[in-house]
Formats: sequence, structure tokens, C-alpha cells
Amino acid sequence: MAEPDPSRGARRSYAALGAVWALLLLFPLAAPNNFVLNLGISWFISLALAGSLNLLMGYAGQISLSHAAFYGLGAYASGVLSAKFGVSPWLGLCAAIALTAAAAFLIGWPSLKLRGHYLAMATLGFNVIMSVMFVELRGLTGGPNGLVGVPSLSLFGWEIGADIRFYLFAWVVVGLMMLLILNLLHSRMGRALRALSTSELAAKANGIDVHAVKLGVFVLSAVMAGIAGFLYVHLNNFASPENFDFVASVMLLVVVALGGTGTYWGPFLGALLHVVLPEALRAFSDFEILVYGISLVLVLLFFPAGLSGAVARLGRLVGRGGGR
Amino acid sequence: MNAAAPGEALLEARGLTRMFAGLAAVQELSFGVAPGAIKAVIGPNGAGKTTLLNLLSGFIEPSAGEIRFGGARIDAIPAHARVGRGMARTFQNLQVFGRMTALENVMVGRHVRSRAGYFAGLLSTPASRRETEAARAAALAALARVGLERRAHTEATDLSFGELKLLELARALASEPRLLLLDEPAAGLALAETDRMAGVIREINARGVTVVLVEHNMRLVMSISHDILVLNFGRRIAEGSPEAVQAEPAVIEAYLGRDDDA
Amino acid sequence: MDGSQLLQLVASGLVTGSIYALVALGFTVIFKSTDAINFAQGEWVMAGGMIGAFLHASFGLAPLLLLPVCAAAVALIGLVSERLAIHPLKAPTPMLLTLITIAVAITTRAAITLVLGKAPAGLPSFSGSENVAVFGATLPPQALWVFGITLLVMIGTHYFFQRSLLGRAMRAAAADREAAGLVGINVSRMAMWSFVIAAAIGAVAGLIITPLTLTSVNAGLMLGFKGFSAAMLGGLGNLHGALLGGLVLGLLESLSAGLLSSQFKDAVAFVVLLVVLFLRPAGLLGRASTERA
Repeated sequence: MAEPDPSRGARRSYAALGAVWALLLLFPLAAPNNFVLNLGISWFISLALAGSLNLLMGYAGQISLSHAAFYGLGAYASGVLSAKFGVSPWLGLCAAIALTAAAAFLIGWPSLKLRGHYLAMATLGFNVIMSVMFVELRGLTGGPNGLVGVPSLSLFGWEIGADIRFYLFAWVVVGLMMLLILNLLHSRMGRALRALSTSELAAKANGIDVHAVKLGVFVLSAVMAGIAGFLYVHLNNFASPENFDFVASVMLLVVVALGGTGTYWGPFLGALLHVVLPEALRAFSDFEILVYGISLVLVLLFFPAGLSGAVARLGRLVGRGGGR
Repeated sequence: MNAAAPGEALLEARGLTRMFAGLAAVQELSFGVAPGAIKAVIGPNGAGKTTLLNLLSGFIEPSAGEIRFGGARIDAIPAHARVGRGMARTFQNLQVFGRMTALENVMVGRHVRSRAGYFAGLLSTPASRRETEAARAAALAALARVGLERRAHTEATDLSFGELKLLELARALASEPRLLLLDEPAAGLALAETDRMAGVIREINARGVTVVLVEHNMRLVMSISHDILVLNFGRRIAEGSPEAVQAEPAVIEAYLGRDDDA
Repeated sequence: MDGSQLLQLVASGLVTGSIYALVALGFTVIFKSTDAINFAQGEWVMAGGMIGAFLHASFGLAPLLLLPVCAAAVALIGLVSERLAIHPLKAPTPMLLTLITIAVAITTRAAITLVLGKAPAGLPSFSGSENVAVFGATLPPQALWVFGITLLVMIGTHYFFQRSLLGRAMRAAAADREAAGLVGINVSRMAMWSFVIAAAIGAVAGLIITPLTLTSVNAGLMLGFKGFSAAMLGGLGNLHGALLGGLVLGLLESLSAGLLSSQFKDAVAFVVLLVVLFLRPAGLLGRASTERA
């Protein structure tokens, strides 16, 4: 029978991820200077953030406005330990993972019993509280001026500076992260969280412990954001609280939505925007921000499924044209 | 799995009561379901049928009374944990997973029969991959049992209403239940589809699955049930074989007499 | 800390709280008709203050006269936003609507920046400049204007939704969209009116607070966010909840700043807010269990 192989879709996704990641290895060769190379590194970090938020929001259907807080928690955990206490950044990474996991567990436990706007508010509230901590625990965090003097990473005595070496390091770390996400999506828990996002009732009726599964994906996505924060702080040797406030969380939400929620490739496109957006909002002229705002409205109006939805639609149109 | 002793009910309710805002939706209800039986729960609208099903499956908590399943009390066990004990249900208003294929929907039904957690899934351990393969095979088998194997790779949203009803049934079957709770399996189905549904339920039952169904469609109820419980205003007004129940004056008055179009 | 200082804290908390309440009211009006969180609400508050300051500085318009003018101007912004960005949506979901309002907020702020500039702007008090003593607390006269106008807007909104034909039609549409459509209410038109009304309320809030705090294009973000929090605290979708939530949040901030620590005032306020949310998920005045898992 000409029935399509059920796991073909999964294999294609793995192949595509492998191909994209192999191509990304060529990017440093094409990058004309360090500035462009650093945009590549920023893209990796953004992808880790958008990909992990998409896992929570797009697949499990749980809105979170605290992603930037976990990003910040990871950055400050490793940053403060290494800058103020001389702890090895690798131990800092462990601390970042442990701290984001613990914080996500504590805030996620009560919050994930809420839904929709109430969940949004609870996570938003947590982000505000964390922002206040980042700014006001001055002795540790350096306050509003930011945390300075964060050491770079080094591996076997080999310093991972903000150049090709960091690019390769982020290539490995974020590549692994995206591979793990793909693995998860094709596993029992991946199916469970996709299921509960459409019907919690049916998920329960199929034996899924809805609250536990939600809490699991919330912690997982927070830890991934924390690792992104670890990358950020040791790349820039610096952390600044405004990168981790609730506005940053809202922008991450927009980035995931623009890329296409609940699609594996959406965050790849969304992260591209995320690299450009902060530059746009800070450095661009007021007129350009106006144009940006209007185009945001237009994209959402005409491509409610996000850019990946638009690309898929375009692909189908082209495919149909070619098939005739 | 500890099977019920011979002659003992697989499912038993004692003094089951559920109040909503001071009104009793189910009141002092006691009944048993014998292993291997098909038991229908009927009654006029508002008789408490769906409330009863929600109580049995754990979606709402009883105000009083107890529920035993396979001899053990389960009324304090949350809904999701009852599935692992061998109790599965369907919904009156369809609850399928929209953005997943029919096969994936049914694979979710294997959740309680597999164990891979987040770590196994993230790392794609051999055990996790084996489980997914086994779940796929079992899900295909469950789809075949309801006659949907050809639709395995269709998105659930592209299935017809009748197919979705069968899909829910296949998903429930995938968890290998001892007891299947069906909430109006024939609601919204055409005549031919109803007969197909009756055939599927009968066949599932023939393989040893006990069935409790809440249903309005008398054609289905009378053709497949061994045993019928009639409710009115949350209370039992009759219980027995289809013939006995149909002859019961209280039933005719409360239900059949008024609702003769059913 | 003596009694008069405490009174002072309460009074200033109520002033801020009144503004939060008005912003929360705007959120509530749009939430009721669309189920969306309107991120542009804060920008409308900012727009009210900025346009008012501009009209006062350029044409010497009296502050009281500014009230209707600014309300109308910002209502127009709300109307245009709804018609251009919300109305054309084919399959609106609350999530998509909320995202679009983020885009609308960015656009609105950029437009105001282009036209009116980035410089902070102020307004004179609506009347007098001598502080007045009320129950032992010393308040600037503008604080009394804030109380009075907030009260008037609240009462006006209440009566509008209870008594007027349009208000009742909007309530009907909010309660049950399908049924409202069946009895001939144009539901999409009701959504439009909710944007107009919410924008006008936002403008009033922005205008009456500007004499106390100054305003700038960046002021909308924080006010909008506080207003949203107040709306959640009171019970999203509940008009009286908006008032209560606003006042409680204002008091919380003011008291925690005065009694505990000014640096951590936001953190204290939001810890309380989270506790309320966890214990009463639907807010202080909302019906519990509506959105509980």
C-alpha cells in the first residue's frame, strides 16, 4: 500500500536541522567582519530563547510573560558568581541551570493552575519582581548600570572570546538545544504537551497529568532561557537589567508569534527579527519605528500564522504552480 | 491488574450524590456494573446522566458516596490516574486533538501504557524510541478496530463528524481499558453510522471490555445493552434488562411517554 | 512614622490609584467586548497627556477645556486603530488581537514621537497652586481634581453601560456575542465603540495626571502595565473591580514605598498581586473558578 511512512516527517525534520546547522558552519567564512559575526552569535542566543518559548507557548499552549526573567536569572547567576566571587563560569552554568529550574518550579506550580490572561498576569508579575531584584540588589548585580567584569569562558585554557570561537561554541550549544527540542516533540511527552494545548479535558481523559506535564515544560523552557542568559553574559562580559524586563518578555512573545507559533521552524525566522528588533528600537529613527510598527500590524493581519506560515503558503503556491 | 472476583461488580457506586448550587444532579445513587456487561444509562434531559459519567471518570468530585472500581475505592483518585487503572472515556461534544493526525491522537491514548518522561524524550533514548514505535503499532491496531486505519495520517480537523466519534473511541481503546465510559456515542450520527457504531461497540465488548454508555438514541441502547439504568432528576427510577425497563410504568411515564421521538 | 505621615501615604496612594483605576477601566471596556488585552491603552494615556500639553503650550487652551478636546482626539486615535488594525481581521482570536495591540502601541508611540517630540511635557494645575489640607494630609489641588474626575468618569461609565441604549447593547454583545448578533446588534460595531470609549478614558487619565508628574512619550508603557495589573487585581472585565484594583494597587505601592522600602515597592506590590491571583484567580471582585484549571 502506498501509505506514507509515518516517521518520514520526523526524519525530514532531522535532516533539515542537520543541513541548516551545517550551513551555519559556513557563516563565519562569509561574514565580512566581527560585527556581522556577532549578529550570528546573537541569532543563536535569540533562537535558544524563541525556540524554548515556542515549546511552552506554541506547543503546550501556555502563555508566559516571564521568559526574559529566566534569561536574566541565568545571566546574573553565572555572571555574579564569576565576576564577584571568582567562581568558574562552568560552575556558574550549573548554578544558572539549578536556579532557573528552581525559580520556574516555584512560580510555575501555582501559576500553571491558572489559564489565559491570568497565567499571563502571574508570569508578568514574576518578571516585574525579578526586574526589581536585578536593579535593586546593587551589591550583587551592579544595579541599573549593569554587571561589569564578567569573565569570558575558557575551555582547556583556551579562551572563548567574542569572535569565531564563541560562534562555534554557541553553534554547538544551541544546536544541541534545538536537537533536544526536536527529540522531545517526537516523544511521548511531546505528544502529551501538544495534546493538552488543544484540549486539557481530553488530555486528562487519556491519563495525562496535565499540571505535572505543564510544570515540566515550563521548567524546561526556563532552563533553556537560563542557558541562553549564560551565553549572553559571558559573550558580552556584561549584563544590563533592561534586557530582562517585562518589555523584553513581551517582545519575545511577539518574536515567537511573528515566526509562527507551534511550528518548529518559526523560531528560526522569529530569531532573525529578534536580532534586528532591539537595534531597531534603540538606534533607528522615530520614522523607522513607525514603519516597523505598521509592518508589524500588516504581518499579523495578513499572516496570522506567522512568517513560517507565510513561507509554507508561498511554498504550496509555488508547488502547485510547478505541479501543473 | 487485580481482576474483580467472580460475581463481583467491576464498577460499583454507593450512595453517590453530587450537588450543584444546592440542587442534586445525582442523588443517593447505588448501582453496579458486572464485568463484561454493556450497561446503558438513560433518562430525560437533565436526569444527571452526564454528571454521573463525569463522577465515574473523575472529572467532578462527588458530594457524598463512594465509587469502587475492581474492588478498590477510586473516588479520591484524580481523573488522569483512573485511566492507568483501566478506565477510559469519550466525550459527548468531541474532544479531539485538532492539530494532530488521527494516528497521533490515538498515540496519545497510549500515554498511560508508556513511561518515557522529559529526560528520555529530550535525549531520545533507545527506550523512548522503542516506546514510540510500540505506541505507533498499538495505535494503528486501535484505529483498525474502529475501521479508521486508512485515515491514520489525516489531520483530525479533516475528518468527518462520524469519523471523529470513532477516533475518540479508538483513542480510548488504545489505553487498554477494562471499562469504557461512552458519553452519547451516537449523538449526531446518521442511521447507518449509528449502526456502524453499534457494531464497533459490540465487538469491543466481545473482546472483554466492559462498557457503560450514556445515550439518548433508543435504537442504539435497545440493540446493544445487556442492562439499563434509568435516571430521572438524579435518582434511579428503574434498572434491569431492556425488556424489563421498557415495561416499567415509571419509565414510560418519566421518559418514553414524553420523549417518544427518541 | 506618625499618623499624619501615614495619612499622607494613603492620600498619595489614592491619587496614583485613581489613575491606575482609570487605565484599568480602559482595559476592562475593551476586554469585555473582545477578550483581548489592549497593550495600546497605556499609549493612549500618554497621548492624552502629550496632546494636552502641546495644545496648552501652543494655543493656551485652559486645562479644563482640554478635557473634552483631548478625549475626542484620542478617541479618534482609538477609532482609527480599531478600523485599520483590528476590524479587518478575518479570524480574530484573543491572542492575535492582543499581539496586534502590541503593534498598535508601538505605532501609536512612534507617531506621537514624530509629531510631538520626545521632550517631557507638563501642564499647570487645573486650579490654584496652594496645597490644601484634607483630613490631616496635605495635597496639591490637582489631587482633588484627580479624585473628582475619576469619580465622575467611573459614575459616567457605570450609567453609560447600565442605562444608555449603546451601553446596554455593548453589554449584551459582551455577554453573549451570538445571541446579541441574533437580536440585531452589530457586534463588530460594539468592539469599535469599546476602543473609542477606552481611548477617551485613557486620554482623561493622562491629562489629569500630567500636572502632577509631567509626561513623555515613554510614560505610557509603565502606566499601561500598572493599569493592566490593577484590572487583573480587581477582576478583569469588572468595572467596579477596575476601581477597586486601581486604588488597592496605588495604596500598596505608596504604603510599601513609605513603610518598607522605596526601591522594592514594585516588588512588594506584585508579590501581593501574585498572592491574590493564586488565592482568588479571578481577582478581588471576579467570580472564582472561572479560569481555574
